[in-house]
Amino acid sequence: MSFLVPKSLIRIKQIIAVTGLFLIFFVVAHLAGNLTFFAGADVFNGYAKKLQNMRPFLNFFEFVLFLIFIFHMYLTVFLIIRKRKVRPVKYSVQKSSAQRSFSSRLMTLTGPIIFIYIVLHLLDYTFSSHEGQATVVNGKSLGLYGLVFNSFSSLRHSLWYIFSMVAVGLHLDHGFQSFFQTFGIYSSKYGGFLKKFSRIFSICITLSYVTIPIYAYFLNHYGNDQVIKVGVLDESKL
Amino acid sequence: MMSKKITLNFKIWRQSSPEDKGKFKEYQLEDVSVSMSFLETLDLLNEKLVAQNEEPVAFDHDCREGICGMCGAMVNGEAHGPLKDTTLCQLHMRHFKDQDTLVVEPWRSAGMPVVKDLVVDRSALDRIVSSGGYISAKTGSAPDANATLIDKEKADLAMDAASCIGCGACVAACPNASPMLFVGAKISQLSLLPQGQPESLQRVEDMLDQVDEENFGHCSNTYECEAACPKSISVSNIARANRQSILKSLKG
Ligand code: HEM
Ligand code: FES
Repeated sequence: MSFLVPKSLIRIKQIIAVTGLFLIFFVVAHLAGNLTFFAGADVFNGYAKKLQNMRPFLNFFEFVLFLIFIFHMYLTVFLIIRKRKVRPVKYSVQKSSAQRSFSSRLMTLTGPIIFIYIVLHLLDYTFSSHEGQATVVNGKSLGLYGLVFNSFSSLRHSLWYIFSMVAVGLHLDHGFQSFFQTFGIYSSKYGGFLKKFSRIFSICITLSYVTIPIYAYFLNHYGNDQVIKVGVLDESKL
Repeated sequence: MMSKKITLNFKIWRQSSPEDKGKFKEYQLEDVSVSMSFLETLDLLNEKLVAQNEEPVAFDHDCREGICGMCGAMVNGEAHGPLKDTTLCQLHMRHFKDQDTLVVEPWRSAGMPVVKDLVVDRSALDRIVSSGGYISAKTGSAPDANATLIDKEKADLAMDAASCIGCGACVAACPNASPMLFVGAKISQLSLLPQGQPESLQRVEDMLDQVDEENFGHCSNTYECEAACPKSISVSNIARANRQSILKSLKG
């Protein structure tokens, strides 16, 4: 099990970077699935059903994803410990000459926020019943769609999801371009482009994810009864 | 022509030995000519201190023309002070205003411990170079100038990397005290040229192993080093080292 205690800093970095890249793929794939929410209960539940039908394979995929997450987090612990050791006396004044991005300063904060978010997120929707009272919209059980829909009637819940997606975006703003650098895909010519690409990508990810809590919140409070199923806002009430 | 004189307030780190805990001491220095360099200003302060029977501020220096890499300190939180692409010895006092307060600290990192006041021990950087920053081919006597053809672009990149003077500002400015800009430059100056290529992958591994040995941190791609580097070495040199490290792990 020697790989559990990586000896070299550069290997640690490389593993954080590849696991990070796989997590980015996951974030994109998960988004694509989530966006079916806009197509209404039938499509969304159908999509969830299809995933569940792939069970033995899905179990394997979930396990790999779990390992990737664990490794990504576990290895950052080494870096954080090392970081504390290598500058025992702090500067009394330290200024950023490089105009360090906000997101790069916050990596060790946005990371754990994402972790807490994922745990709560799984409890919210994965490890909870997709039947019963919580799924009922207008007297009819709408399964997972209903569960998600109802949960976003709470402003607090919606804001927490939005906040977490901002944390994901910030993490990726630094993380994605950092992946390129760690894998040596950077040159003075296109380095600037990679940073911009990374920023635009993360903004798109955050904005796309938050459409769901925002939409569901407004649908809950301003939606018209019949259209909830097909997922169209009642404009007359807005 | 008499140059303008200003008065400066200094807060300088004083530490008598590696074991000493050290603390800041405040000094006021009058009649600082704006044409003086930062090190000349420290000289002026030291003359005053010696006259008062106080211990002068220890600082490293040699060429005082920005090419040897001996000088360096944090001035108001920036390595080599606020001026871009400049060593401390080439920083002139015209960049400061009358009555400015300057906080002067040594490079701080476990890998480059303070010896005294502003002097740090940079031998870790030398050990990183000795671990692999060389070529072992016998080069014989000087070859004909055009015997080995090298792309102009590559030659320029290698020269840019070779302009690293090993001052340690990259480590000092890095939030993780990582020397990767230094290492990237030392790796690139060799691996970009045909003579350095045969050993390039082994070199990367050996030099990076030495980085771990030396109590330096990891690179988290914040690019503070590039901004602090008095020779404006590009972080693309770190990318080159990273790339070779990946190749090395793939090829074993
Ligand atoms: C959606 C999930 C996540 C994605 C897509 C992701 C992606 C990434 C990427 C691409 C990097 C850059 C790797 C590099 O430096 O080259 C990174 C770095 C990092 N990640 Fe994550 N990550 C995720 C979750 C987490 C979690 C849950 C934590 C911690 C609990 C975390 C902590 C960190 C830290 C601390 C770094 C910076 C390492 C350094 O100092 O360079 N990440 N992440
Ligand atoms: S004294 Fe030589 S570079 Fe400053």
